[in-house]
Amino acid sequence: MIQVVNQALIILVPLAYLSTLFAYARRMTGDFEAPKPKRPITFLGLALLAHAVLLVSRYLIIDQLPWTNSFDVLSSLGFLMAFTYLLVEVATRVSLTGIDLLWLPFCLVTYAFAFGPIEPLANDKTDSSEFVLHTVPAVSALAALLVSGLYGLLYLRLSRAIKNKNFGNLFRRMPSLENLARMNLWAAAMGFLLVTVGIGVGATIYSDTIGRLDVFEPKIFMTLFVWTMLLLPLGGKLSGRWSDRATALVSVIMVGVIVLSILVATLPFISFER
Amino acid sequence: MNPKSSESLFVIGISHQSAVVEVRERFALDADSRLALRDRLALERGIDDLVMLSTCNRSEIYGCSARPLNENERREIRELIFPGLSAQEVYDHRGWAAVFHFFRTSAGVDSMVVGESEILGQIKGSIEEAQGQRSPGRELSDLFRQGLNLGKRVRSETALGRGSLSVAAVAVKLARKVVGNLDGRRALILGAGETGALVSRHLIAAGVEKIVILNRTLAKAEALAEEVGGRAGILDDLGTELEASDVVMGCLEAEKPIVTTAVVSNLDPRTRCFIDISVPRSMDPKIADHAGVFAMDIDDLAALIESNRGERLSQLAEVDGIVVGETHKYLALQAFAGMTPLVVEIQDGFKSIQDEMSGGSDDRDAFSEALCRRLLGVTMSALKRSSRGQVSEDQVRMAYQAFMHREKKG
Repeated sequence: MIQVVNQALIILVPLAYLSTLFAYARRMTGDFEAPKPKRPITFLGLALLAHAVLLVSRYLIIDQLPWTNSFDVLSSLGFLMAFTYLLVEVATRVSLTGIDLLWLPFCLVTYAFAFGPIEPLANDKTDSSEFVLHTVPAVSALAALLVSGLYGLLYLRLSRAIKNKNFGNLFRRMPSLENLARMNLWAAAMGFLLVTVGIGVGATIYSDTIGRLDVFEPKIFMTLFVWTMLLLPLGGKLSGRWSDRATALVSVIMVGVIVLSILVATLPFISFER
Repeated sequence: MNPKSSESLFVIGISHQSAVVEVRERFALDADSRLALRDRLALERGIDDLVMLSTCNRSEIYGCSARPLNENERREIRELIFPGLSAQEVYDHRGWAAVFHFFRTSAGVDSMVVGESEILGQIKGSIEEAQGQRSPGRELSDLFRQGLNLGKRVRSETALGRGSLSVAAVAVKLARKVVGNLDGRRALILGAGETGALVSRHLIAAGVEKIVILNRTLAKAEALAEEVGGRAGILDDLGTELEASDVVMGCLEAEKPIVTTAVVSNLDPRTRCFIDISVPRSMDPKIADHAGVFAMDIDDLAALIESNRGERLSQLAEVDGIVVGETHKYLALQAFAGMTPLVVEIQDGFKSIQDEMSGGSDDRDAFSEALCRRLLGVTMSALKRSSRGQVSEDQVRMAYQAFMHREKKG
């Protein structure tokens, strides 16, 4: 039964995301300020619900956290990004940016489901509760920071359009700069919180298994670097010393740093995890 | 008005269509400069039949000379009013073209925000000012009266004015795009004039919680502040008021910018929107370099309006029809007015015939009185028909099409 549900959802979930994209695209047409009869967030909620059922069914089938192969990693990341977007939309009540954010989860999910290997890799570590407690917040943080980076990029693009007096399509369909800045900050704050939890649990696992923390170990160094970099714009913004533009710029740079840190952490010859 | 006398009518001016704000602010005509220019044109050129229309988007001088001006004379007048400007920046229409231009202006199709109705108040103000100084002649008085009627007609009979925005409303819309929802925000208005009042009302309607009006004279600022439920101050308070403001609107004509880079240099990097809708500008465009500051002037608003004007353009054909019809009516009216000596002569002639028929006695019978009145009425109708027939509506339409073609090319 679970297998059947799982197979059906592998086809249905990308379609649900596609319908969500269409719903958000429809929100972009006509008068952007007028309320539309069908709220696209409903489609997103249904897509996320289907995706959550899929992840649970995967967990039940493979009997471990669905995080061992590219199929599961991309699928989970897509889910977390879409979920982060949902939280941001609920918090800011702005639905005009859905199309600009949800294309990435859609692409991740579609790619994973179309090309990813379904069979999980055998990995004992993924069974441990410590691993779950460390990985889930860390991956969620990655998703939140990707969302924050995308909002940062949108902020910079709109800000540039206004400064250059370019009042074209981007200007018309985007929410206000202030809203984008708020969305950027919300996602960054969520990312920061999750990274902090991930680091805390990771440090505990590290000290239990390896011993004394070596801050120059590549993964630890990059993780602490990311954490400090996140602290800067959040602190700067909350203290009123940073402009929205600076915060947006850092969140975009952060995405680059995170990708780099993932590469560094996964390089087989330098990471302690290997 | 016969074809020759219609050529005596002229308009020389600059507007947002022909000149950028840097040029417009140099040649903005305040009350003193309008008076000085009027005196110069009267003294040096012998033209005292003038109406000057000055708004933040246009500086225009409408005149009617005793005889049609030749090309050299018009060039000299252009140079006197707008020294150093090129032929592309200054437009110079005479005769029918001047009528077309004025009617299009009053219809609101030449405005930055197509269909806006503020222009009607400004036209009314300009003719009243001219009447207060030297009474404008019949041609200009008729032109302005008919232009005002045309403006009202266009806005009531076509969809052009329906839901139309004003520059102030567009400025508020732009502010919302930068700082978001204006509910509970704080706005600072520089200037307590007509524009300042309009912007204040739009900001209040958009949800702004606190509004501060700064003006050169405190009394005027207080009057507006009382009306909109804000607080008043003088321009010396600018530094302290800026710090707490999210939106700053410049509605104050100033010889040099009041909001300078030095004034904004101490502001925290919070996002603020500065919109300058005054000409000459009250804000230095360089303030946009400061972190968190988004600064726009009236030409930037024009770019925003331009990007949204597509739907209004569909209404223009209907407006063109009204402009042609009203121009035809105006020309017929002027032609008929040109026949005044003839009408007086006919009236006198009828009266003398009546006297002659009654043998010089005072007791004219009711029949001859009624007959004279009827004959005079028939004659007048024939004259009116004749004056309307001097120029056909088709001729006006063709001239209008040629005018529009030149305008588009220009």
